[in-house]
Amino acid sequence: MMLEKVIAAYSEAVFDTDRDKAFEVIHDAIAQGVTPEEIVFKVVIPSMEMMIKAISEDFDANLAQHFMASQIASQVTDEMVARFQTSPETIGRVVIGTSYADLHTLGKRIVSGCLRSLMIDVIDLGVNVSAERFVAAALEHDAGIIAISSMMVHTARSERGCLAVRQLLKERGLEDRIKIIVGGAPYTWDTELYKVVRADAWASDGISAGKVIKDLIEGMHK
Amino acid sequence: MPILSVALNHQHIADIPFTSSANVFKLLAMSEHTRVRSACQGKGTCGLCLVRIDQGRTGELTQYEHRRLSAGQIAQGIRLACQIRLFDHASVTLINPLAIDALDNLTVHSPLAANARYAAAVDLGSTQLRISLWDSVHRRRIAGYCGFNPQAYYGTDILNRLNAAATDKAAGTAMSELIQDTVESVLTEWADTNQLSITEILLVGNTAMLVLLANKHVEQLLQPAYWTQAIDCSLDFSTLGQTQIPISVVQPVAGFVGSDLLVGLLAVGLAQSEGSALFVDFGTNTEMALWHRNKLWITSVPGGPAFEGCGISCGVAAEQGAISHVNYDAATGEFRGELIGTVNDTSEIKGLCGSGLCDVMACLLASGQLKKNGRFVQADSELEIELVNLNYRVTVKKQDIDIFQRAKAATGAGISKLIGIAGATSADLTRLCIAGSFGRFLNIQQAQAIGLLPDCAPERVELCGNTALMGCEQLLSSSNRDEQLNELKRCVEIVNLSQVDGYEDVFVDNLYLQPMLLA
Ligand code: B12
Ligand code: FES
Repeated sequence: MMLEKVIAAYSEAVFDTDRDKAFEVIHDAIAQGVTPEEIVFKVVIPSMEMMIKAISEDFDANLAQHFMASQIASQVTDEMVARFQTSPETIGRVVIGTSYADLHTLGKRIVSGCLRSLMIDVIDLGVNVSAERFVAAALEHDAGIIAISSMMVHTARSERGCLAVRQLLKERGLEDRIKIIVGGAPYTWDTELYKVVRADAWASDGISAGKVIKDLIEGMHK
Repeated sequence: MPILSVALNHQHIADIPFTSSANVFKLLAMSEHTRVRSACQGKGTCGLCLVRIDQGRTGELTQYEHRRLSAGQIAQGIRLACQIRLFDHASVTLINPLAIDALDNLTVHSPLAANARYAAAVDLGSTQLRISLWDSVHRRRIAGYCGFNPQAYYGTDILNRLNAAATDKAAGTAMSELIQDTVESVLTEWADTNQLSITEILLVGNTAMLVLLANKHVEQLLQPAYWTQAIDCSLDFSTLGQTQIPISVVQPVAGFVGSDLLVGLLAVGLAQSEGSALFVDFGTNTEMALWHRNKLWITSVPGGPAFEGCGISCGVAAEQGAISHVNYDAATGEFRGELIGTVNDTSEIKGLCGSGLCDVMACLLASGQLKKNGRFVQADSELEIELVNLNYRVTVKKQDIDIFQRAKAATGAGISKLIGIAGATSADLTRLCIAGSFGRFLNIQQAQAIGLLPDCAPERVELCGNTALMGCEQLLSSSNRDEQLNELKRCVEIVNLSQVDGYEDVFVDNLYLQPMLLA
């Protein structure tokens, strides 16, 4: 079947971090009559899920691959969604940012890209985000998830980072409505750290972050 | 009581008695000379605490060891110390000891009697501490010391040390005293054996090291606002301990521009260069400066410790027994290696140091086994290379390449942005000065092939060694220290890469193993 070939060719291009090739595959498919909806739901998302599976089976994709995979997938999704017949239904909404005193942008960007391609709405608050801003933005945008990226140990553990977000959620009785997910290098060095900073979950990379967030959202709707 | 017997380089160095069920990492940590390196405090994630089990029964390999160790290492009996529990007698050999032999044999001269004036220059590095006894009249080095920074006990990473000092007053005081005590004991011994008196001590270092010594303003360095500001690192004591020798530090320029960089620039005379000149001092934090049209553009990039061999499964420090160079012969398809020092047999070969690793990347690209995006052409998770002349096989894991790519990308992107922001091009570069111990062994062409260094004619490249200590010595002999420093400081333009638009994209571009593209 044609779609299978598209998935295989697209995945191979993404895997090889070849952006031009990936777009070529998608544009060829569109030219041959595949719809933008099919591209997103039957090519991009399944290919992302294949990657999740590969990674959970201990395959080490490197940073260049992660980055390109997320950027390509999110760009393709953006381009396709603009061509959708009816506006698509999203799974949920996430506010994301880098924690207080941390200016590393890349982890957040990769995660955002992956989430967007999985049809999750992402609102990017930028870097050096205070706990107050995380919570205020989540309320303002009616987001069920606060995602915090920290690339340094001291910003992950800081009293003014995730711990403060947890404190605010608790004080305002928001803990049932808003969940916290964290990620970044310090959490991969110490896989128990997310508990110490009192987050609900963590993920080791952008691709599995999509799955963890989907699970958190589904958990709240039960 | 069972005993753990410890060896290093074929020599027995300690016997550690223990009661039932003991963790090897913790046992080794009990005394200073048996400690092994660690960046994860024994959690199993950093892969640094390598030891070889020579005798004794140990449990199964843990999941962390399967992740971190290559098949070759496992076959040799190499394990992670923090993952082993002992119940009975055993012997181990340290592969990655914390206290390494000073490789940097500092060249020294015998003292000249007539009207000499002796002073001490100290380069306070996060990993190593270098001290020289300097005759400031005859401009000669009389004695040299190079040892491990004893603060490493509080963390190999400077942020961990800053954190420890910021949260625990006692730790802050202890870290400052560790440095003072080390300098004091070295100087006292020199003064005694050479029967001479030392008139002053001058220290240089990165800002974190200096605030830890001064034991103040530690919290400031943890806040982004201070990185481009001057931080007061003056000492609250004017003489060193019992010695009564006057002590002072060369003040850093800003949060992430230390005085080690500043005096390094003096040592190589960067601001006296004919045309534009680039200076790169490789380390966990790589500092770089570009002299272009009477301005000194400075930045620092935190590439991580990969260039020092840390966090790489086959990586070791640049010391005796490390492979410093690797070459690939396209005609025969053979790989060859060169060692630091000499070894009696292959079991003394420790692994790849930073420059060797850099060569391996370039060689694997050249041999067609690695793609420029960092993937092996044949999708294995590790690859074995035989260094035919050494009769030694070295295994490179996929994650080693990823870590190396990140360190390289941070540096490459820093250089490329600095050159761009200053409005220069690589053709303008009349000098490329490489400092640091990684730089000593670097193969420039290979480093250029993978984009660690910009393109530049080989005759323009200078391998400068430890410029911080040299610069500190020069200042000791200078009659107008402050003026010299201020003149340099006036030209400085600090570039904070976290505020530079597009650094992140250039970083990603530089992840690819290919010649550097200048923005
Ligand atoms: C690039 C870089 C910088 C750039 C950042 C540019 C930018 N716009 O982002 C610059 C040069 C500005 C910089 C500055 C500094 N840095 Co820096 N930096 C790095 C470097 C080289 C790469 C970091 C990176 O972008 N990684 C890419 C990310 C995407 O990779 P990743 O972690 O694998 O990401 C995955 C997961 O973590 C996960 N994830 C990430 N975020 C999230 C979030 C959520 C919600 C989830 C679910 C998952 C998730 O998904 C990602 C994708 O798969 C690392 C060293 C290294 N070799 O890795 C140091 C490093 C992070 N930096 C470090 C330091 C110390 C600093 C400075 C303090 C240095 C200084 N003295 O100036 C400053 C601090 C600036 C600040 N306040 O933030 C240290 C931190 C050490 C520690 N113990 O914590 C590191 C580790 C280097 C080192 N070992 O010394 N840095
Ligand atoms: S100490 Fe980090 S792996 Fe053992």
